[in-house]
Amino acid sequence: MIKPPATSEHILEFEDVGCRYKGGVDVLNGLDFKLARGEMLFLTGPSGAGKSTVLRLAAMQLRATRGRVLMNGKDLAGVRAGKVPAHRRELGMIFQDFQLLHDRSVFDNIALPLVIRGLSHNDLARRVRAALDAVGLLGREKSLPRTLSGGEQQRAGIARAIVARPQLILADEPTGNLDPRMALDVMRLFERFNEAGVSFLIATHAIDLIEQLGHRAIHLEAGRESQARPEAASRLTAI
Amino acid sequence: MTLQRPNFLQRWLGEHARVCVAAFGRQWRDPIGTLLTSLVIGITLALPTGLHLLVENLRTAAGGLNETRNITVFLKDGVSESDGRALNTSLAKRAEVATATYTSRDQALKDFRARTDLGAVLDALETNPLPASISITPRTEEDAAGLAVLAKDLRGRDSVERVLLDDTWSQRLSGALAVASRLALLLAVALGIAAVLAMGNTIRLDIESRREEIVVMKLIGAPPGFIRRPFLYAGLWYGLSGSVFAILAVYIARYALNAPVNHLVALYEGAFSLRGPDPQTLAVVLGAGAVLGLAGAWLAVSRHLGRVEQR
Repeated sequence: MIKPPATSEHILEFEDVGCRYKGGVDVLNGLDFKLARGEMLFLTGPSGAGKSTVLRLAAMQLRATRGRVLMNGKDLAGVRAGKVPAHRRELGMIFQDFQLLHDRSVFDNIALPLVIRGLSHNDLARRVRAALDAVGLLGREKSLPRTLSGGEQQRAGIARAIVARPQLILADEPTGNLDPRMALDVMRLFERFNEAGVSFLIATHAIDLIEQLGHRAIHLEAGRESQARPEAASRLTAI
Repeated sequence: MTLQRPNFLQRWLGEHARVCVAAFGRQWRDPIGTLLTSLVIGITLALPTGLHLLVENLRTAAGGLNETRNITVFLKDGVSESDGRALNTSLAKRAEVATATYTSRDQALKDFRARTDLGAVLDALETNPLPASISITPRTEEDAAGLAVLAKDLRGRDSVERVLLDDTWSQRLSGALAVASRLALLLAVALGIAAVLAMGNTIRLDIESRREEIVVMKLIGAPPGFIRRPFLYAGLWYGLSGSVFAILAVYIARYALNAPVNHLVALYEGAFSLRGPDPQTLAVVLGAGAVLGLAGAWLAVSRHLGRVEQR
């Protein structure tokens, strides 16, 4: 059974959104969906279906060439280029390849969003330790990312995404580089933050996990929502 | 719990201090790369600075243009010493005159006797053949036309026998030094442009090497100023260290030239020693290095930072 969102208020809305890349390739074709505040929504679909493009539009790495993308009711088309960083500071972003800085300690990586916000050192340290504790990495703050396992690196990436307490977290294939057990751990971690009120939009191929977790999913085919439900490649019971 | 956010000035200063120290530390950990880049800036600054100092030293070596523009006024024999001194006093008060020095006939004779071995010849003469004179040093700002007017005025006086104003040589030297000064300026501009481009290239490479970090910063919402800042401070440090190299190069050149110049001056029985850069010149070199470094870094970040995006 699909878990209902905590509220009917929408944090992110895509209204008939189209996105055409340079060269005339249409990646999205009239995509419509709404993400309720406090909801955890999955985007599935084959490679090239437009999952990452949806996330990039929400993060304003791209602009819609058709339709409207709204965050908290505000049309992102009206956000000037100079205000894009401020928009991104309202988000948390998690990547398949973790995007950690390998010449900085885990602590410094997680502290980055707070450094940008100019927090005092004491607050910054307290918040980073809280985030490390939440993802189970307390005690590894002085480690360099390369010395962590893939799952630990992803947890460090999650800690960086949640440390500034964003309203919405965008995750692009967050379990793509993890084995099934670590992938489930990461998803459980997402659920914990989701239960605390953080909204999630997660692009993934991991159908098994979505079925296991029971959250709403939108299946994309050729840049639009498809009613066809994909078959899980494997079953979680096989993990 | 409410977060404690420092006030804007505290945040701004703290962030600048942090980035400034971090940029210095990054260069400290790459001494060879830093040395090479700083040397480019150093040579760029050392050449025009050296030329500027050469011109200044030539001015001094020539005895000062002001002194070479002296006017010597020879008085008629009939003019008494008191009248001569009165004329000297009135000339000294004129706006275009810096100093006026009266030399009586007796004093001129004594000076001549002291400077030459012609005492016996002078003794053989019945009268003192040397005239009383007034040596006038014009003010520095007085130009050739002003001096000509002064000389003409003096020639028109009854008590004046002859007026000597020979400033041709000084004018030629002044012209040559002005050309050299302008050349130093042009050289500074040309080399400055080259330094900005070289610095821009260094910072461009720095941006490329930190591409991953820039991408992450952009994705997590770092404002452009925040991303730009480390590169601008890197440019500043390169420029300042280049300035230090330039100053060192100038002092080394001065040290190397000092002995042969002293020998040459001794051959001409002169009293001159090479001057190094004064505090004002040092400040200009340091400032120029900082500006060149910042300009090059700004050029690079303006052109390249915006192009760094997630692949």
